[in-house]
Amino acid sequence: MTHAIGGSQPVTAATASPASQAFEAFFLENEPKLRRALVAAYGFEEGRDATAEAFAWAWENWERLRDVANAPGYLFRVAQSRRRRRRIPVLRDVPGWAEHRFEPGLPGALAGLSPRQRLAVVLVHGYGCTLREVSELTGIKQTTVQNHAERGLARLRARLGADDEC
Amino acid sequence: MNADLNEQIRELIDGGTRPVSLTEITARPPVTSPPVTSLRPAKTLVRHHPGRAAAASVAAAGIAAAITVALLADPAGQGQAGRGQVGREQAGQAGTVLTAAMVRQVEAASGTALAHSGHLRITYSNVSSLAPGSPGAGTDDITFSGRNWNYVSDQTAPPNGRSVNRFAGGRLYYYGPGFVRHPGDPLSWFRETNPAEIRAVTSVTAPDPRELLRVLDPAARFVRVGYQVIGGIRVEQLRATRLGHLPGLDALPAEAAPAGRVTSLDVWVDSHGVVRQLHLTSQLNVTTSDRKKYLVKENGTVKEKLGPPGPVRHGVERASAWVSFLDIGQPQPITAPAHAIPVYGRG
Repeated sequence: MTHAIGGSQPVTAATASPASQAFEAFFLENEPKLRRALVAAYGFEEGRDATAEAFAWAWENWERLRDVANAPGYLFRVAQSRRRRRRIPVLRDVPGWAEHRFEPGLPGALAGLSPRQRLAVVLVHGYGCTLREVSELTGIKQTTVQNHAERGLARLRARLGADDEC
Repeated sequence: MNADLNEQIRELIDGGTRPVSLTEITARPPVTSPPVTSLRPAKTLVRHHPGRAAAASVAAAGIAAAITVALLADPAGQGQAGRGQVGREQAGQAGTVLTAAMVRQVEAASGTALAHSGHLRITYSNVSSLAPGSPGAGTDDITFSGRNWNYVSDQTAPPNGRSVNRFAGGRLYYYGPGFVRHPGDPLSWFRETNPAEIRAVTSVTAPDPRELLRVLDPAARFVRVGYQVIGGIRVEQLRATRLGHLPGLDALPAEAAPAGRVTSLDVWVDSHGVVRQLHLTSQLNVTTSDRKKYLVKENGTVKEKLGPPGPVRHGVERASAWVSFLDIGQPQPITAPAHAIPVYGRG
């Protein structure tokens, strides 16, 4: 097994330190979840950038972070506090794919939601996360997450004109 | 529609970004200030003075950006320069401190690159102000591959000839001045047969380059100096600013080991974070007092007595050692010499 801690030179499991291996496991487990949440909240570019920023912080402070009870949630707050300031989420700026397998209006409709609504809709409805998981990750109360998810989904469906199809 | 919409959301989010890689995050600017958060960690995080934290945050961002550029710069310039060392290309952002993670990253990358085989060339010199006409100098070439190694020592001042110790296939071989079967014969390879001697020689003779990499200690607080091209490879020069404790220097052979206090340590690192070269200087204050010895005969016995003390002379011995990591990742053929003469305890 190889991974890339330590630069572009591969580091084998045999030579990587236990701390590196623990961090790698933590990273592999939590990167998708954190990235999706941050992309939902801040857009493709900024969300991804915030994800990388948060894990860079985690790598730098791994000795301390590994003892934190809710490390993914902690990293979410790191990303929030470190992200670059932008006013408009950029979910509208969908990369130029050859084929879009979603409604053309979906990026714009999602971008029209509030950040918390978008976050809740993406995680709860898009990825099937439980309210508790979203709450632990984002630090938002479960009931609030539920409200954001329901209202956000309703707004999304309305924007997409999907009410009649349900 | 809901299930379909959920799937579309996943398509949009996952398709819109590519996953973050480990390489990417280790190269990013670190964030040193803890976030403002209501989450309660299991263990209390270290608190920073707010002002210091803010200043550190700003400074760290700049520093880390510089390091990122420095260590993971696109090596597009590789191969464009000729062989040998040329002047610095760039001195911008010099003086910024590498974070502990970056230093460890360099150590890890270098250790990986040298894990199986490599070639070290150590060029050393030393001179005392009390005896400027009697400098010491020489070159050691050490190649290793797995457990095998070949150590060529060529001391040029004072001239001491070229000798070779080789460890191959669990056996130790010698070659060099004095290793002849009969006086007047040409030099021959000898094979050590004393197990204790083999253990002793192999434990002290050949420096393990991976041990040497322990000088890459974050406590040394490495700072950026600038870029250079060495052997056609674009490298960045890093300089240790805290020289009180530099582990790993014990791995240097005795003739290249620092004399007294280390006065400088510079490291050149390529775009992969692999160490390409080290330069170490050291200084030792020496004091001499010539005092002649006399042999006197007292009561029928000869005794040695010291004459009157001469003038005390104070001087400085300065030493310098260059360590070049060559042929990184290249296999090093180290084979047992044919027709070696068995010898017991000649190391």
